[in-house]
Amino acid sequence: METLSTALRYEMLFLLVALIVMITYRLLTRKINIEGLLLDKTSGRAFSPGRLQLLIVTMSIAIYYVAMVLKTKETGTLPNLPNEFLLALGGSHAFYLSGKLYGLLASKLGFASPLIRERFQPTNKHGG
Amino acid sequence: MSKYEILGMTIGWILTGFIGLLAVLILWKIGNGDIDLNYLISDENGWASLSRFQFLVFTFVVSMSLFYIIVNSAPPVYPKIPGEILALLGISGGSYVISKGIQTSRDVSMTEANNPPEQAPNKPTNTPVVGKSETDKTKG
Repeated sequence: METLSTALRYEMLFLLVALIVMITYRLLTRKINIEGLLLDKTSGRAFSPGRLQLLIVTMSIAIYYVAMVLKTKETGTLPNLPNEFLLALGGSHAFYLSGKLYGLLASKLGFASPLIRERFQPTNKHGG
Repeated sequence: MSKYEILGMTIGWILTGFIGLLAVLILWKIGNGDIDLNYLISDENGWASLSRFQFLVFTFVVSMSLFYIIVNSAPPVYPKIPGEILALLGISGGSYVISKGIQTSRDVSMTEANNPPEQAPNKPTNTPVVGKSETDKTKG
């Protein structure tokens, strides 16, 4: 029974670590597409601070939680994430989404910059 | 050892072998490009999606944490998942759905205005997706 449990443990560890290493390597070497990760798609591919802050908050929470798990002495339960982090993540998402919604409404209601507005105005570009 | 224990051990070893084989096969196919991960975090226009990236990061964090907690408890038990972790995944998923709604509305407006959303440049792949129009062309 002990041998079976050890075999399964190493097997799962191998699978998880191999997947994480492969995907991280491909992300870093851009073999997995990360084109436009920090660009706003509404405003003609401009850099988006909303996306950057969401990325920073996501990575901070992920690193903090991994550190919490490694430090935990309690077994049988995952450690609790402090409510402040949930609020930070919620706020970060709200900021990102409101930016996106503002971009859409600005283009539709006509108070966006002319460059962006013209992408939503009917044209005869495709013969229509 | 009773006959039921022998049966349990046999089933355990068969499942372990099967899962191991599956894991090696999946990793092998990812390695040689048969399972294409180029667009793992991309949206339907081919641009990288922050929400999908966030899902990927949280999936790895939660799965590694689960594994760590399970192997460190004696005897190994499946841990309780706190409400905060479910809330974390819920915020992420809810935001993804709202974001998709906004994006679809924008794409529809742009398409109606004869300015369809720009597609990301294609990446080389071992497993090209053949769309309907391509299939029709082949059929003649």
